[in-house]
Amino acid sequence: MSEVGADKTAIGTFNDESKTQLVSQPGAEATQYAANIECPVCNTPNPPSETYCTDCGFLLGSEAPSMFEVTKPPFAGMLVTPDGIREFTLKLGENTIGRENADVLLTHNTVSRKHAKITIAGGRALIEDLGSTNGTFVSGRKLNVGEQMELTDGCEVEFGSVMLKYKAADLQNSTCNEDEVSSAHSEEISIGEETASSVLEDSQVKAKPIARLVSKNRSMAFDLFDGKYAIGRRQGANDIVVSDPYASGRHTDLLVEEGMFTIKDVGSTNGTLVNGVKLEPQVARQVQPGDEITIGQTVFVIEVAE
Amino acid sequence: MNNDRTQMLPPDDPNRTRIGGIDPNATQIGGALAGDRTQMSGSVKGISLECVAENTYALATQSTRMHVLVRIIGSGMAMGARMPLNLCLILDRSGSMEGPPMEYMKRACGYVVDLLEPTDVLSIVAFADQAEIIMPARRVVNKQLIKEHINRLEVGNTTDLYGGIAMGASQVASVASPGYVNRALLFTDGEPTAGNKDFQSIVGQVVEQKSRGITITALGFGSEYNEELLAAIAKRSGGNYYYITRPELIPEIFRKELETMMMTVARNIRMRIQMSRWVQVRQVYGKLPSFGYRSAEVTLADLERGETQSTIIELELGPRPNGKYRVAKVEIIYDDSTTGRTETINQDVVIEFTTDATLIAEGINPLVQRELEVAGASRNLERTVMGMRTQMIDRDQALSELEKTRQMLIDHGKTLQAADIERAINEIKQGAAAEKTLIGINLDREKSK
Repeated sequence: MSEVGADKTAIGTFNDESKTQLVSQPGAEATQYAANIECPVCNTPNPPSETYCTDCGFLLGSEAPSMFEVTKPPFAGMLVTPDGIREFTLKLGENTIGRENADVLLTHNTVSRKHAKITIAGGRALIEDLGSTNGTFVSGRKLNVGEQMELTDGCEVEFGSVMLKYKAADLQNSTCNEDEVSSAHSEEISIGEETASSVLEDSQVKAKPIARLVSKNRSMAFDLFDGKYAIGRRQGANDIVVSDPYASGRHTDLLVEEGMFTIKDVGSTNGTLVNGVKLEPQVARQVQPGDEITIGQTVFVIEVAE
Repeated sequence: MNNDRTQMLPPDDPNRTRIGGIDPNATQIGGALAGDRTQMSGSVKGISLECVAENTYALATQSTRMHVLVRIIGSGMAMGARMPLNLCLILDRSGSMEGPPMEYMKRACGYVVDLLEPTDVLSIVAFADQAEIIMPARRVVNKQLIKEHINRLEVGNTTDLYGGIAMGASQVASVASPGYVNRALLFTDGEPTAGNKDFQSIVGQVVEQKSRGITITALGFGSEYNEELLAAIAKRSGGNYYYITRPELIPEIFRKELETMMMTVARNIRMRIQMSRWVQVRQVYGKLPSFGYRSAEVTLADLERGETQSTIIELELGPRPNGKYRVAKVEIIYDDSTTGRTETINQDVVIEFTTDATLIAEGINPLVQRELEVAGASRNLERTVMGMRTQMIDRDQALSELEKTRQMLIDHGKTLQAADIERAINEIKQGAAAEKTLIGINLDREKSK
């Protein structure tokens, strides 16, 4: 019997199963594959029975969006659960962590309402405990209230009994894998003073910044290169995101050109002030390093790099 | 039947766009169904589902936080036989129960026995210095014999609440057959004084029992019990909490709760939120979700006939090209008392992403806004109760906070809960402690009557 069976298959051409299915007798499955709908947004192939893209949820068959330019906010780092399932994206400037109304919302009963904050500025991430009940721990060490500690890529941060891993910006963007992350750590230990953060800055900031825009309380700092910077509160719409509720979504433009700095209010609600004088909207004005630039309730100065 | 079906349609159905001749909306109304639209299939189920987003629009250019209201509604009609009960009475027989409380409790248990039928299973556990089985789980056939067991109860000394819950749950679990509504009815008048007295361990045990499908109703009697503990037990296990002020009310509350149990139309209810790309669940109000790959899941309390349970989810929607997107699919998985099977119903949450900011103002859904305000009131109430317990706020502050909450609830048609708050306000004015009343006020669940 088995020989007969083998013979039949050997005869081949008549009953080549794959051929029959694909060409002469399209079965139910073949039809489905033939009519797969590719999502115009994320390019995922979807079976025709689906109304919405199985990946991004786009309504299949509706008009393909013409605008594909989505300005994603610059990636400033993130906190990730150890299983990698939940990701909390961090923004430039201040990120609050807590149980209520926080940027990083952790609804766990060992997390305080206002637990901690992470400030990302100038390529560094600083964490501070805000007087939480159960404390904030970085790599197992408890933070004192008011103490600031720098986060390094891959380090473990605990808020109460919730543990998250910090992923720094540049390593996320590059194709760095787990091994490289840990080697960066061992480097930090062996080299001592040359910390991982300086390694990070080298890969992140190729050129040396011309100057920095720094808030007077030093909670925010942004590197400046030649070019135009949109400044405002709204993520995604600005190159420099100011976490100040009194700043408008789009507040001010800053132009850096040949060592000169020009600022222009783009119609903000509360105005842009230079040394206490309110600018006319849409009128550019040159500013000098050291001038006080008020955006919302935050006062910035430009500091020229040595 | 038609009533039920109409309810399932979302008030503002974004599915109306036609795709290749298939109108998803028509499919929902009609009978012939494919794939995941099983919720509309022929047999009528015990519950229906509504999902409504805070806004039908979101800005495509930036991240948006969006609330979604999920309501499950127990069918209003009595259909078929009720689910049989597998019930354990967990009774406090500590020293303070001496006298009338003990007598009324025995009488209350007698009523329970009278109301049960031979298809139901009953067990009785009592606790004092330690827990003991008064009657192991058995069908309610010989009612007289069961009452004799109850009448042999005597008062002891201390209160091993933890032991009582553990033993009661093991009695419920010992009845392996599926299809029962598994319940424990815990009755106590005091703080735990024997066995494991730790709040977190007791609540942790309750959560474990809930995961095994056992719901505990907590009845607190008198002024000495720990209302925070009892409310937490009920909340974590999806059961009810009652505060019984006087011994002669004990039988009435037992009867009321038993009738509630008998009206269960859906049990072991889980809500799963499946997220599309660029979507995250920030929180599920009042719940601790377990997260999976692009999914979050919470358990909900058993649903009674005619009851509505509201849950608010907060999503974070990332920027994307313009267009209509299903941002999430909400799935309810539960044991249906009408069909006798585990059923799944689901609904899509569809949002249109636009760059036109004027549309955002038009797309606001007032219903979700209203529920958000109620959720805010619920949190305020919790804070007020906590403030009263820890004496962080004084009597006048408490009264003014409560009055604000009461007014808000009246404005939103939550008259039952507003009446409870009024009762608490009067208790405070008379110099009594109102925490035991206040802690039981539950704003996410709306009974039919």
